[in-house]
Amino acid sequence: MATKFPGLSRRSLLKGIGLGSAAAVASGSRPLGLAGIRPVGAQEQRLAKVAIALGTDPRTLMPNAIVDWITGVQIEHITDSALLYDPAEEYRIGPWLTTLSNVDELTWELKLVKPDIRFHNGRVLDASAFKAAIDWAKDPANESHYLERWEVMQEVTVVDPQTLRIKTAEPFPIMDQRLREVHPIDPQYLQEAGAQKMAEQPIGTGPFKFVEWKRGERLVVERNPDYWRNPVQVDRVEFRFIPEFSSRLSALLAEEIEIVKDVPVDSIETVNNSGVARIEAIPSSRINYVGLVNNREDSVLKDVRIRQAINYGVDVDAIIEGVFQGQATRMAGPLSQLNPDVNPEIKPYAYDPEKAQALLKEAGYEPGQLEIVMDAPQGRYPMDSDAAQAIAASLGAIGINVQVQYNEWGTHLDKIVNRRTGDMFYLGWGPSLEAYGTLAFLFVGDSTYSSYTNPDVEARIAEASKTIDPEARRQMWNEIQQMVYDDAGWLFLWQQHDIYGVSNKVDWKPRPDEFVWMGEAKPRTG
Amino acid sequence: MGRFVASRLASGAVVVVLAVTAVFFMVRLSGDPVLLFAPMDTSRKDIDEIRERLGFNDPLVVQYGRFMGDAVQGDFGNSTREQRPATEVVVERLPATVQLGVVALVLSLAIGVPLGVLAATRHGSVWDKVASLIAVAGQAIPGFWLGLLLMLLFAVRLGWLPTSGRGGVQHMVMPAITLAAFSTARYARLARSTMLDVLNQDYIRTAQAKGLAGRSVVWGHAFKNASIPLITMTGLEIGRLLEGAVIVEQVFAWPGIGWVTVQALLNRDFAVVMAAVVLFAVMYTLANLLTDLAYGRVNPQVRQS
Repeated sequence: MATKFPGLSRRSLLKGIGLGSAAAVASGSRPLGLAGIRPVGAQEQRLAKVAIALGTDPRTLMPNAIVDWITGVQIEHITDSALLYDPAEEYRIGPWLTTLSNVDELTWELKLVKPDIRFHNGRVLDASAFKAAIDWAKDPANESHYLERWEVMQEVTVVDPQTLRIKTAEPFPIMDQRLREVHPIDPQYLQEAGAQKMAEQPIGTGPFKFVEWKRGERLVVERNPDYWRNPVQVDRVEFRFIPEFSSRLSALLAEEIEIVKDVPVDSIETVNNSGVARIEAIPSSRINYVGLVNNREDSVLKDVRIRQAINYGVDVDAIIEGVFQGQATRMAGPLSQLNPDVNPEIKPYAYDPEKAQALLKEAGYEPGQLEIVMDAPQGRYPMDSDAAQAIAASLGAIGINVQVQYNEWGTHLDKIVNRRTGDMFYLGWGPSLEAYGTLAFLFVGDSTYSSYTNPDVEARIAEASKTIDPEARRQMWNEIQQMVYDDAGWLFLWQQHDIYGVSNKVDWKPRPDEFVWMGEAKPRTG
Repeated sequence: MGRFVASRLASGAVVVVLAVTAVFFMVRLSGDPVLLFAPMDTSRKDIDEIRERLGFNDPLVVQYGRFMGDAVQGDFGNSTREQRPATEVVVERLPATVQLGVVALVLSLAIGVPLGVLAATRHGSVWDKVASLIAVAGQAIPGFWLGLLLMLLFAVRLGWLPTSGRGGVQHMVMPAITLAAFSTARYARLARSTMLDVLNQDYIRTAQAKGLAGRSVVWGHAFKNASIPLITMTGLEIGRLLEGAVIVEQVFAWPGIGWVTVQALLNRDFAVVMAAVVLFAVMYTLANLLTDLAYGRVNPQVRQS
């Protein structure tokens, strides 16, 4: 039986997947970040091995270098980050290696949560390791993806071994988002070994130590018995690189691997009936939408009535049921229901084909007169090509002829960035657990990934982006979401569900931030 | 002989240059690589800077000239995905592909040729029909599908073999069979038809009339002449095995050049694509040269001409 998460509120959604704050309260105090980690006594059983199948190698094992999900998942078993999304706080950013506070509007401080945290080589972690990480990424010679993201950190100073101070030129309210990405590196190891060796044989403070990386085959890490939080319950984690999904699924069913991501909905039953594995599904904070191009001279979607007609004319709930077998969660506005900054007042556009046709008529189009090309990727997002076809069929029923143009992923991105798509295009974004990362990236002038421009929205985003006061900022984000919704900036679709096949020997739950972390895995009993 | 080899090497070099040139322009016309290796939230300004730094803003002809200048020195540039020399990325995968290719070639020769000879010598018998069936099936079943089918049966259902990866002999079985299936069928068909031709020749009848043993007639007289087209086909088959390795390596997670090339194409990792194409072209050219040399050895007329 497929797990379904029908149109729930953000809070009930989180409760439904056992990660709500109520659960955290019930479990007692919340000393340090992740609620998933519990003290492990010597008598507790451990898993000898967990193998996770991934499509490809990490691009590097050097922390703070590459923004890439597959790379990040593997590095984060070896190195800890300064801050982390905290399930006990509805996935707001919370402390991990450090806490974060702001001294004033332009000054932030990271403080270590413990004085005796050690790298795998035995050296003690201190504030200089965070500075080394930031300095390394900000050196243009290292070509780090974080160079641009961390540009805002203008002055980074070690105040004392436990404290790092960061100054910005102007107020930067999402500093926690940037510092969440910082993984400390042992400056001495970096100097002695060099970046090349660090990228192949990293050390960190994480729950697992590096053992071996055979490119194209596997990355192996082993349990760190001296882990500063509590040693984890898995002795060895293997990341196996298997490019073809069918082969990954076979490996799961043959009990060679324990976890596989992105199981298609039509394989759910196979896994659940296998007797060796089960499906663990969770609504992701990654969203799918259809961009409605309103900022190109020749686009018919400059007319808000047509954009609204499209939103009224697509039966999103039916597509979720029919194409996704319930494995997607409807979004109302431009943020996912899991996003702490989502505006809870916004309700999804109702399916109303009559109203859609009336709006089209008002805009001057009789049924069958309007023809639109919609670009869609194939295989990038769950069921993307089927969903695009279903959207086209839905719009066909109200008299808009949509021709779907399928693209290979690289071509799709190229067409979007260079504004060569049709007036509609299918895209995903995330995982995103705060407003800025979606709204300020997608609804400003030079972002083609939404291709929707509204000067009022942009002005409000500029204001919100510099507002430190959380409550005032939240109000602004709410207002912006309402504006985009009223103006039908997108065809608002759904949050993906991340569907994992998990061995029956392993007790592990996925997270909505796509963090596949074996620090929380343990043997399954019963 | 030396002149022959030199002339074949020279024409091989022309083939490599032409192949590289064609692929160079094709991959560059396929889209912007920067969008695939930079995060999606990279600003337009930064994307332009990266393009400029990597030389993607230069006219294609300028990029081509620069590439060829570096390539003749063995420098294909850095992989944009892995940020290390593309040559290193490709060459470290070479042993896996060669290992798989050689095993598959030996397997297809060892099964396909005797099967074809058997079918020819037992023309019209059950053996002939079985051999024809195997030959048709081997050519009709796509490698991708055959690989998954074998995996489901021998790894998932029976648990006899590992599903994927490279390791001991047991890891080699399914990828090698999958890769060899098509070639085995081709060898069987060709061996059958050429043997049928040869077996109808007068000198075979003479040999039989002289009272030579059947085995001696078939393998000593008929097969020697029938083997010439088989040698020609082996040169072509090496190219096909390299092509088939692209699919088989994907299915069985075999860490060879085929897999890395597909990944590089999907990621628009131009440097790796070019390094792989050069390696493929060189391997193909050398295989054909060896075929020509072997051909000359079997057929003195060719050597003399």
